[in-house]
Amino acid sequence: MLQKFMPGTTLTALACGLLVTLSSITVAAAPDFEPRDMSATALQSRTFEGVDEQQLARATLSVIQDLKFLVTETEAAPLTLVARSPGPRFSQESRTLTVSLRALPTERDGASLRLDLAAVAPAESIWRRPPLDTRADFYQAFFAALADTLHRQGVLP
Amino acid sequence: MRISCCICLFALLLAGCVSQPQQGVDYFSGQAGFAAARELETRVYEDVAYPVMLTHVIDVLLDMDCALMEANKELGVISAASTRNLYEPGSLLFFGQHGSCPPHGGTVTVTQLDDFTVEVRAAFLPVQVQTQETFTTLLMRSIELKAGE
Repeated sequence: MLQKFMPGTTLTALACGLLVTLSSITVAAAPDFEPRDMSATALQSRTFEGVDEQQLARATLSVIQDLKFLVTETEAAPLTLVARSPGPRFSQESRTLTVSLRALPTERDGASLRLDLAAVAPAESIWRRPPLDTRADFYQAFFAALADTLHRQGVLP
Repeated sequence: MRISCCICLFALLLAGCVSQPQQGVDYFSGQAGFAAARELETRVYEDVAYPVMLTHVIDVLLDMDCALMEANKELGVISAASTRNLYEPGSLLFFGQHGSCPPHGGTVTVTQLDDFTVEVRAAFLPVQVQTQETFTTLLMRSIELKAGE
C-alpha cells in the first residue's frame, strides 16, 4: 500500500536510513565509562615494599619476556610498559598488556610501590570499545610469576 | 526483493551487535619451560660498558633484518619485529622471509651488573636454538669488531 504513494527506491532508502539511525542511537545510549567491579580492580594491583623501582621494573620485564609478549612502548619515569601478546594482533585471543608502576608514600620510612596491570582485548569493531580483561587467572598468574622472579633475583626473601 | 534486502541488512546489523564469547588463552600454560627458555636466552658479557652494549644489540637486530619497535636506554629495553610480520601473519601484506629475524620478533633486555659486566636476555618467539645462536654469534662479532677498532 505504501508503494502506491512512494516509489520503491525511496522506500528502501527510508528503511535503511531508519535502521542506521536506530543502530546509532543504540551505540550512543551506551555509557562511556561503565562502572567496574572493585574486586577486579584489586586483582589487577599489587603493592610492594622493600623493593626499589629498578628491581621491580627488571622483574616485570623478565615476566613479560617469559610470556613472549612483545614490548611496544616504554616510559622510564613513571614506569609504564605496553606489551602485545604473540599471535595475530586483532584476534579474539590477543591481549595488550599495560603495566604501570607508582610510588606510594607511606608513614614508615621509604615508600611502597604499586604495580597495576591491565590486559585489554583488541576492539572487535568500530562500534565497540575494547573490553578490559577481568579474567582473574591471568593477573594472579602474572603476580605469582613476578613474586617468583623477585625471589629468584634475591630481592624478596 | 527490496524487502528481502532490508531484512538481510537488518540481520547483518543484528549479527554485528551480538557479542562473541571470549576465548581465554592461558599464557602461562608453558610455565614449566620458562626457566629453560630463560637460560637459553640469557648471556653475561664482560668488559663491555652498558651503553656500548645497547648499540651492539641494536646493530645485531638490524643485521638480522628486524625492524626496531621500541628502544629505551634507561630501562635497557629494545624490541624488534620481523618486517614480514608487522601487520598480520598470513595477511595480504606478506613480504616474504627477511634475514634471520624470527616471525614474531622479540624483546631484548640489557642489565648492568657492574661497571663492565652486562647481562643480555634476548627473548624471541618462537624459541629456537638457531635464532639464539645467530643473535649470540652476531653480538660477539659486533663486540670484537668494536674492540679491534
